[in-house]
Amino acid sequence: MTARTQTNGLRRGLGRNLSLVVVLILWEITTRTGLFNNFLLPPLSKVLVRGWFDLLSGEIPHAVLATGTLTIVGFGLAAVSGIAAGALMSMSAIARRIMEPLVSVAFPIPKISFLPIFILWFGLGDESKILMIAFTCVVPIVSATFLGTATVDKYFLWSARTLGTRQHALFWKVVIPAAAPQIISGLQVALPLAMIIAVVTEMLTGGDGLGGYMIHAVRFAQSDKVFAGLLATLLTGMVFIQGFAWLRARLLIWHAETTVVAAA
Amino acid sequence: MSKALRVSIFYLPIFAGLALWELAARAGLLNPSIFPSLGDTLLAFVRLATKGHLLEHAELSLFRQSSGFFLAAFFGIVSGVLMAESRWVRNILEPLLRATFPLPKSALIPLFILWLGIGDSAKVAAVFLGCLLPIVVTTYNAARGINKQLVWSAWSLGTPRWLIPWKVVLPAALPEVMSGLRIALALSFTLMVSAEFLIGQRGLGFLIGTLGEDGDYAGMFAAVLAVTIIGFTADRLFLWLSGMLLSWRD
Repeated sequence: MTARTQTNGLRRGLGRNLSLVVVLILWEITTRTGLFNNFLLPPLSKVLVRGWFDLLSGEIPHAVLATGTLTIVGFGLAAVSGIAAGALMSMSAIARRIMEPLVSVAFPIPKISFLPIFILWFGLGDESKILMIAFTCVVPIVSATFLGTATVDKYFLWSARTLGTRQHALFWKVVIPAAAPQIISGLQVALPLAMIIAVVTEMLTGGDGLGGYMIHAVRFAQSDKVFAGLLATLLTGMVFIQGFAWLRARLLIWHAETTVVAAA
Repeated sequence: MSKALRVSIFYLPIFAGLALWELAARAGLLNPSIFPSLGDTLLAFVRLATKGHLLEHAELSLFRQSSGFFLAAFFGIVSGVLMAESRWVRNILEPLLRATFPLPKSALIPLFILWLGIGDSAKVAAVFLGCLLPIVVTTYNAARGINKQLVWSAWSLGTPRWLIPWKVVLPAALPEVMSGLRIALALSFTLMVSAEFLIGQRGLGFLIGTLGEDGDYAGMFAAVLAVTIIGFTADRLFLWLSGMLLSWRD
């Protein structure tokens, strides 16, 4: 009984990912039969073996840890300051006047172009990378928080006030929870950006981390290592994005959005 | 109040910030060896634009960015709509998208250096593939979420089946598609500059890096300013264009 359910589950999983499995098999076959240049596209098995060795030697875990730390610290800095700034914008007209044009200009510009300036000011170490990540991520977080907190349903505020909630408690107990879905959506836009910038800054400053791992591999023409690095980066990205989606469901467990998803 | 006046009042804090920068530099609050004044930056900008090769670098960067972006927009929209409309396309593309979507797009740059070397094609490919995935995903989600009655009405009024995705589904999904494209546009500039920082001998990213290495920091700030202006202008052009494209909606 259980064995059959398991086989069925396996078959369904395979069915849903059929094209992915086909692509992976084609990758292995075409490279093994010499249809593709093995330097440009090393066989999947060779990539996996290389990844396995670098996993055991500690090189990949070290890189994942470095990139992960950069991402979390830079993203965390952006989250704290971005939510604070966005909330301030919805509470104070002066803050809004000052910050709205800044956000509207900062939104589309390629902020990565400031990296050489950051390196000039803060050196080649982690400070530049973290500030670069925070600078990139803060913009979507500020605008999502501002939009979320500025459009809180007035009935919530009136009810809470009528029931005797004080002004600052009103903010923490009503405004922030009511705006939480939008704030978290802003954070979900910023998180992939944090990883993009973490990887780029590592490639550019030649430090360690996944970006450094891959760019070294390119410089030394180790193509299997480039692919192993890509795979490790993909898996790290998956863990971050899935982890945050899980966190969203936990944080918003009281919210209608989660109930709907759970019911569906 | 005229529109120009309203816009200038809106951007007043930016001008105030720039004035503050100049004043702080004149008052000696900024270390001139690592933080040139606004005036010096603007002078360097004029110097680079007239005697330097700022325009050539900018032209090349824009060529790379726009080739990658427009290719990604075309293929991304077509495959996103087809995914929503055809079960076959969806069954083939969805697992691939799900598996590759979480990749931080900048990690593609080393791959394209490996495949295509240090020329234009590696940068165009990095911009193209980096922008493609988000465009496919937003288009697919938007096309999937349209009001099905529109399709049924067109169907019963005799619209040929093959035209429905392009005449009905895409226009209905257009607002979301456009906001997805806007995000991809910003990403395309980020990928362009990143790729140019890393490889090659020309382009704005290269110019910023090389001026910095030469210690010409006013020039470096000016080149960063050029990238900023280009990214900002492209975004506002895009907003204007999407306003025109969506003007038939209420």
